[in-house]
Amino acid sequence: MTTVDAPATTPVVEARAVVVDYHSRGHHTRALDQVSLSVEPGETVGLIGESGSGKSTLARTLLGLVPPTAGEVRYRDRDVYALGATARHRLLGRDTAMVFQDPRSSLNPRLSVGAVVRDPLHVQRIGDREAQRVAVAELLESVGLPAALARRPVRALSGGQLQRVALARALAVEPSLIVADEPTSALDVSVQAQILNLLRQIRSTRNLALLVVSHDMRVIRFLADRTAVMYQGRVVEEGPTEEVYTAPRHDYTKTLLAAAPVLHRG
Amino acid sequence: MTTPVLSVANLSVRFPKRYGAIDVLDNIALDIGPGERVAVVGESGCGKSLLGLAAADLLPPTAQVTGQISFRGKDVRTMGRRERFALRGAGIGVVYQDALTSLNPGMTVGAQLRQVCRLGSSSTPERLLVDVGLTDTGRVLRAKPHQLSGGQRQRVLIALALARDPDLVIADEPTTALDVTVQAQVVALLRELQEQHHFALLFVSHDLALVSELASRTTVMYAGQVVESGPTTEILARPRHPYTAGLLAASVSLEERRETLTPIPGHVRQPGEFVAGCRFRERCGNARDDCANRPELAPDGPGRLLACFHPVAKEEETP
Repeated sequence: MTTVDAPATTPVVEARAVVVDYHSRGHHTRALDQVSLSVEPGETVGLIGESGSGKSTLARTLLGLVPPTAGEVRYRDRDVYALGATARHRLLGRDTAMVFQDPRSSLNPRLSVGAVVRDPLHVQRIGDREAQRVAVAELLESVGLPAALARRPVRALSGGQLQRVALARALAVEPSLIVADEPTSALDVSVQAQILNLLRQIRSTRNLALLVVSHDMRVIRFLADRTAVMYQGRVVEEGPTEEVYTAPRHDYTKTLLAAAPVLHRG
Repeated sequence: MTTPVLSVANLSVRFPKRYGAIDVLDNIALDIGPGERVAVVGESGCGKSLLGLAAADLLPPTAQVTGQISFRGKDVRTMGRRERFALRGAGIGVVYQDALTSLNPGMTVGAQLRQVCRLGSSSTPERLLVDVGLTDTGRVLRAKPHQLSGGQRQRVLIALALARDPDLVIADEPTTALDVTVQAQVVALLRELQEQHHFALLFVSHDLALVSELASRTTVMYAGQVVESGPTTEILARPRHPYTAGLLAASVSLEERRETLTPIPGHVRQPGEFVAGCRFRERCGNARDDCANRPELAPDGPGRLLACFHPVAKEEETP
């Protein structure tokens, strides 16, 4: 995007004309085609698109996990991929976190809840054992779980509780950016409502940048300040969420909006 | 009155080995008339898929069943073996959520369709594929399931369900694994086919918006009990059971942008932990002492049934 008025703040993360090609057995697929996107501090950006549109690849590229074929990713104004892999992961691992769709497959079922939440602190060598124990208790309470749950095994928790654990783990390193990839798609309606409310609450109390990846426009509209629509590896439309919803410009956005089921109430 | 295609009455299902004397489905009533589209909604663990299986006469042998499941006026459980087989094969078609696991991965689509059509069908594999909008019939017939997209596979599954000209099609979350635009196409296809072929449709879903687009009548289930049923638009505009009202308040919608959602406190319990009486009472804001008794499903206005002692007031609009 070309911003006419340069924003006063530096974006937390910014993709500039990023191209990602995947190669397999002689085939090559352009997963991202000249994608530019930025997330400002404290802002929630929604990334919407169908499977195969490149939204998850973009999320991973922004987190330093997929080296782009061309273009650059800047994290707090530093070129992420100009750094070596170790330096890159040290920078981003300490300051970003990811929440996945299905906590049952993204969290180790054999660990205790406490161990799962403590893990990033341990890896990043933040605090001693006692400080970590206190931090874990505080983190669990901040996502609405009793601190005593730390001793329970992951497999004993419900899906909604586990997604709260995943959020507590993501918050452990006090990141400036959290990427949530379909954070509520695996959850039931009433549990989804709990997690969506929690995400909004966390965002407003922690001044955290949030990138929400989803195929569900209802979820994006509830959470995001700004929405980017992806189609076939490109960002085809981007703007304030309410504008994208009420006055979509690109045909694909219109198709997406028309396809979403609407509650008919008499 | 015409005989319903499917009539379920006083249906209770237990799994004695796993859950002892607990009714996992508890006194269910559900009628579907010829050519009618009826939805069953609820969260996971509410028993809606189990009811779908019961309706398709596909409950596992470990299930202990009481009550009646009648198909075209005849109790399925008094039928002979042959008759039941014919019912499952030809009378009822089933579409499940995940087409990749429902189809045989090692057989071509053509072979799978031919296998079913050979048992007796008014159509041919080619015609069935055209009916479900797969006009590139040659390629699809030769393809194996993994060579098709998710939407194409779901269409093949619908073609298989329709192959034997069923009177009843049971679709259990048929679009959940699909992208929004594909989901919209599959729902439109189901509605078109239903209008063309006049089969009765039992649509199982957790998505209230989707239900409102497809079904004329809706049954809401909670923890194995029917809490409320009636015309879909009525139920969504004026829910009477606190659970239905709770589901609506918790749903993110595209139409109205809310600042916060109102979740239903707690979560659906495992059958082993179901409370006696109204099973929703521990999560219900309206619950009082008498909810420890089981409320009966009773008429509540035209075409509506309700099982609740302290329903949402009638004039009150939903939040």
